[in-house]
Amino acid sequence: MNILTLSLKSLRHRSFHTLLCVLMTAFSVMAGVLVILTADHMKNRIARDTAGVDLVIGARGSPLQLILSSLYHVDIPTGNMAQADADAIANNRDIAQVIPLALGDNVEGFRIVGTNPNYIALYKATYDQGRAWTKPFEAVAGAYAAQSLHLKPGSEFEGSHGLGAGGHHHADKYKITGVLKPTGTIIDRLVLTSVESVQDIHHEGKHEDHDEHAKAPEITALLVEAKNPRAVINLPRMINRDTQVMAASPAMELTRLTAMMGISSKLLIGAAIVLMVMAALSIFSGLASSLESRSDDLAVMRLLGMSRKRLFSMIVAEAGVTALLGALMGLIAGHLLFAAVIAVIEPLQASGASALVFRPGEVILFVTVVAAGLLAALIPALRAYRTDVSGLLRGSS
Amino acid sequence: MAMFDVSSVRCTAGGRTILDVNQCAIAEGDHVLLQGLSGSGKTTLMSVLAGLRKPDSGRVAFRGQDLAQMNADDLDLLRGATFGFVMQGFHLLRHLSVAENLALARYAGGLSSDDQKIKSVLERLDISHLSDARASTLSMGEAQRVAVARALMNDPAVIFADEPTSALDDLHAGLIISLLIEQAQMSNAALIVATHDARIKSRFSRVINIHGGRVAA
Repeated sequence: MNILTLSLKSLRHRSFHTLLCVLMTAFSVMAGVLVILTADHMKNRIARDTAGVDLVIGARGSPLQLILSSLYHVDIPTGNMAQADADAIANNRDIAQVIPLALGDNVEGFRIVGTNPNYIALYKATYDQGRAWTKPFEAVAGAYAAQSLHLKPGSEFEGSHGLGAGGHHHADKYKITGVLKPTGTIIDRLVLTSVESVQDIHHEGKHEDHDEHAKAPEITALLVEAKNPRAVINLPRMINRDTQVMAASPAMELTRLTAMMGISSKLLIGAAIVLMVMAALSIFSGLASSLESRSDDLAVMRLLGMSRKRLFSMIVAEAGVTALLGALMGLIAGHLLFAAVIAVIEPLQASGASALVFRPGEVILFVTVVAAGLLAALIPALRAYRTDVSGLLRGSS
Repeated sequence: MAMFDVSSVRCTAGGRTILDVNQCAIAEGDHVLLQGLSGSGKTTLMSVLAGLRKPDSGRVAFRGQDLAQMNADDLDLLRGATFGFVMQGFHLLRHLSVAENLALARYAGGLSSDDQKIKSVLERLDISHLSDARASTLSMGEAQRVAVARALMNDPAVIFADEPTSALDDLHAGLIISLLIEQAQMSNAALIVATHDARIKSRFSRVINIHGGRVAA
């Protein structure tokens, strides 16, 4: 017999209410864990997809749209830019590397990106099968795209016009020459080919018999790596002022984006805090109401010699056990739920989201919830501390 | 030296004197009945003797030690390890088993757990078969025995019983008094019973009558 045994027996005696308190605590922790895991994954994913790109240059329009369409491939591009403009910018002495992107087609919803092999190196992707493209209409598939479309070296496919599924098919067929290993970045969901392939398929300046429609070759965007931090600041100013195109900084635009996303994430955190307070209140109300019915038991314990401190500790231990059980259940449920969300939402799977990863935020959440539970026990524990023993002896006769 | 030595003790409640004892002593192994009507002050005297209530004035000594001078922790220890209590209604913890109720008495009294002791006390009271029974399932007679067993768990020097027979019929009242006297004799413990129940008066060699907070004889 000890404090913990007594606490556990008391909790078991009030099993329905205990279960209710544990479940409420578990729900609050589960919600918190889900927010932490999702936010953390998004943050990491955004950072990984940025891949050290300092600037994105493209047609004038919304800078955020340019970043989203060129780095994350989730929005339509702002337009195209002339290849000549791109070449001029690439020759700037403050630029270490440029990677061209030519967008416009997809294969069953997976974007076909015209680029050069540096794009593969940018995401540190390596080949699982095959090799890079060497000729027009050869293509390399990202791991998730290859898996979803059953592509392997030698496979052929037709591109469709547009960036989403459902556009008209182009007559020219692509041939897969390589498949990349999974990287957990956006490249997993892309099909890569040469810029020329994308330009050719759109008949841009290549077909002599369509001279009247032919125009100068265009690309969609340039991913730029600057030579130094000063260039990252100066280049956009110069490009936006002196050229017909626009330079956008991923860091700056993502700060804006995360600020916007932050509102919803703060709402979720707020909801988790409300749940946590409710869980603490349920522990408080459970203990407080149980004290009414247990006042005789507590007085008996005091009469039998149990000190006030032990009685206080017993009530705190009851709250501690409840909060601890709830927090543990919530932690497990949060990870299980995140695993279920990953299983249902394909982009999360493709981006390498894992429910087996534990984040420092979860430790803080766990400790906070247990502390809140203990705090909720203080008033009931103080009441137990002050239990009047003499009341057990009848009346004041 | 008397086990309990009460001198010039006065207790008040709401400005009214509820206990006023000039001199009273109880020896080791004494079996004493504190008798009086409801509100006469017998339970207050018992509370004072057990260290549960500090008198407004006067001195209560247990084996020469002034209870008023002891700190709360020492009083808790004294109560747990040296006194045993049987209350009206018995007050067993209903969600614990009989053995756990007895184990609680050891733990609350600051003593180490002792399964052998529990077994022997249960055997002594002929209730071994109830060891695992939950207290809430016991009959009145069984609960009486378990309450006495709990009071005996720590080999007390004094057994206090407050109105142990008040709600009982003659048969059960007689049984519990017999049990208390028998067990107190076996343990060589003093037995102090506070009651207004005149049925049990004949069972005690010493009766202290209390009227209006004063010891009559």
